[in-house]
Amino acid sequence: MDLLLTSEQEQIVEAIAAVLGDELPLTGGHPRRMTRSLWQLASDLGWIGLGLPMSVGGMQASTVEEALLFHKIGYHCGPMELLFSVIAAHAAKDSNPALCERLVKGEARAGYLIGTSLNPPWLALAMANAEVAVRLDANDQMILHGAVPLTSHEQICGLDPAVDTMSIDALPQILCVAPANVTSRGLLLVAAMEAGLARLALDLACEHAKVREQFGKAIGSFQAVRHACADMAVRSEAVDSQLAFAAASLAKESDSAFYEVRALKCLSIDAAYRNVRSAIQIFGAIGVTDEHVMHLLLKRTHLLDALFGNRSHQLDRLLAYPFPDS
Amino acid sequence: MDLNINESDIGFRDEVRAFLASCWPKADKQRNRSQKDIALFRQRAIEAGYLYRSIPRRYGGSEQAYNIIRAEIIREEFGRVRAPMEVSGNGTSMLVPTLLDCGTEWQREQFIRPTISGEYVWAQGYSEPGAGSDLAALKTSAVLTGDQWVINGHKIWTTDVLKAQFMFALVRTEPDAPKHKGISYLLIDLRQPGVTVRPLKQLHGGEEFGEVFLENVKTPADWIVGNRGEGWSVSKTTLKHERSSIGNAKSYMAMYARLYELAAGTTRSGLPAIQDPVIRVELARIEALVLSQQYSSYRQFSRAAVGKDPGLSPLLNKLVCTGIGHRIAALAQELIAESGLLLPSAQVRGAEKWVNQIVGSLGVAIAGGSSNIQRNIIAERGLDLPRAQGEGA
Repeated sequence: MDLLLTSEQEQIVEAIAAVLGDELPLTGGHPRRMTRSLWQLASDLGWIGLGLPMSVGGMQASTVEEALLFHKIGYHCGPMELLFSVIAAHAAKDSNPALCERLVKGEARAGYLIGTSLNPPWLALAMANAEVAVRLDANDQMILHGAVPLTSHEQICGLDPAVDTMSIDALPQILCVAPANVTSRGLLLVAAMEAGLARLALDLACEHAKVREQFGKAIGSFQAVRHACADMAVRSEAVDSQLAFAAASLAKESDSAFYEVRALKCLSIDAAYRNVRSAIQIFGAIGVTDEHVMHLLLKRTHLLDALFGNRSHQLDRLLAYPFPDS
Repeated sequence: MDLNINESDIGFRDEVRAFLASCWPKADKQRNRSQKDIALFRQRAIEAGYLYRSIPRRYGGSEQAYNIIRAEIIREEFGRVRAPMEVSGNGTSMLVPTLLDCGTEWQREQFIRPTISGEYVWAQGYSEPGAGSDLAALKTSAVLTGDQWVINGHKIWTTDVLKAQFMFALVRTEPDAPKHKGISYLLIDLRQPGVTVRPLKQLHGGEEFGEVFLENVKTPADWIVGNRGEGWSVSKTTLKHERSSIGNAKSYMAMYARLYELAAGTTRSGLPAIQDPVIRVELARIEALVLSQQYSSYRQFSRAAVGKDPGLSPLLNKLVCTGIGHRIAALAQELIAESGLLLPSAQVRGAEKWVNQIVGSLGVAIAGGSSNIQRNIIAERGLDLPRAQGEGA
């Protein structure tokens, strides 16, 4: 077994981090929205097609590389549009390769539809410029929908300020039902974003604990603060290990991949919530203003929790799988 | 120990009910009452001895004998018919008790009456960018020049500053004294040149806080509460009042009741959420916590009523209630599902109003002494543990 990155994978991670660091610097509490230049870079660098075959313009890498990409996007509190387009491209791959290719090139964009009740209204995320949308149905299948008709929506104020949010009264036309492994991929990649975000909360809190002084010394010297940082690190390490294992399981299509990915999602959302809350406590009052980046991490965590089935949904499903043989 | 309320207090409850029935008739409870009606009601309630009981009549209060059981009966009965209670805010809850404890006769006459009527709104000028948990590190300075103080500095997380005309503030007047001994408690009129207020938007969009820049701001020499250098102990009177109001079990009882209603009215997988065993268990746990905090507050009342040392429990109020608030928020988040992805606003649709509690509960763990500072206070003042090196409470 080898859960370490190859030198090629390390180069990919560095390249992704460099682009995101330039495009989405982590300063201030302004929402980090998708920009034209980031969208262009993402398609030029092959991010959307990273895990797709060359026949549709993809890079033919595995879920491991995709997970690395989305860990970094999560770490930069990056735009959600990339995740939705990647999932939509995988959903369309077999039934509509032309659409898949346009998604890979960034010519078409995807949003996400969400609704746990069986009745309208549903929420449509990042649909303003999207021509397709993905949705998880009650049987945990990913459904690919067409665009939201202009007449049947109402623009509303979403909790996450970087994500355009609408309320819709009717679901748009169904284009296809995605193969079962697309659900697992969605769970893996959203979990990777949660893991990245949990790591960001840890890093920001540690950085602050080193420079913020009270009672004449850095607050990181107080046990109440340093122990909280240590607990955040424990959660981040655990979730990153589970992420590596789950991504590798899914890449080799192992029987236990479904189980590993759901277990990951439970761990990663827990780490994200707890690390973000802990970091906010360490930042003190500045952490609950909208001038500081922490509120974006908190709101993003709430959003990520709701995607591809929330925490209680995953816990419920997890119990249906047998514990994997090691 | 006696779980019954004595005869005279039962009689008192009837008296309060009769007063409310005549002065705050139920029938028009939901109608819009004008500010004038509310002011008139408060005046009657003061005359009847129900509001501002600890404040002498000469300052506009009702000057009643200290009776914490009766004070609680009044709160319960007024709350039941939603009659206006005392004017809320920093002025009534923190400044007035401080003036009664430490103010001069002139200050009490000048400030208490307009504050309890709601005419004067006060900001609390304590924290600074470099002085949060370590409040005594504050740097804003005041220099006595002739018959006035000249104040320079920067206050932040200043509650209610956007609507206040006045601020009670901690400032450094004795720069050479040890840090806790160099602080004074000043009253400042904010309506003057040199005062710049900037709102601070919170993560859920509210603007209850601001920061205040003070440049050569003046305040009369006799607007100091307590002596020079005694501001730290004067302020402890004030902070004690803030902490006990944050630790109020009643507001969490009400919040729990709303949570229960939410669970009863929410459908999950085709069934009422309240039938889901996971939800039921968590509701039951929260209910137990809320009730135990309620009984803790009764015990605190009982001790105070007979003049006994309040002991450990008042020090726990804020930490316990912060924890209850987090758990209520977490269950509400589970129940409202994707409505939790909306920001509550003018276009309110329903369940997303819980988002304020869900994200706001994180701020409660910081305001008025963070949870870590609360734990230090419990350890040091409550349990007599040695003081942590360099860490104050």
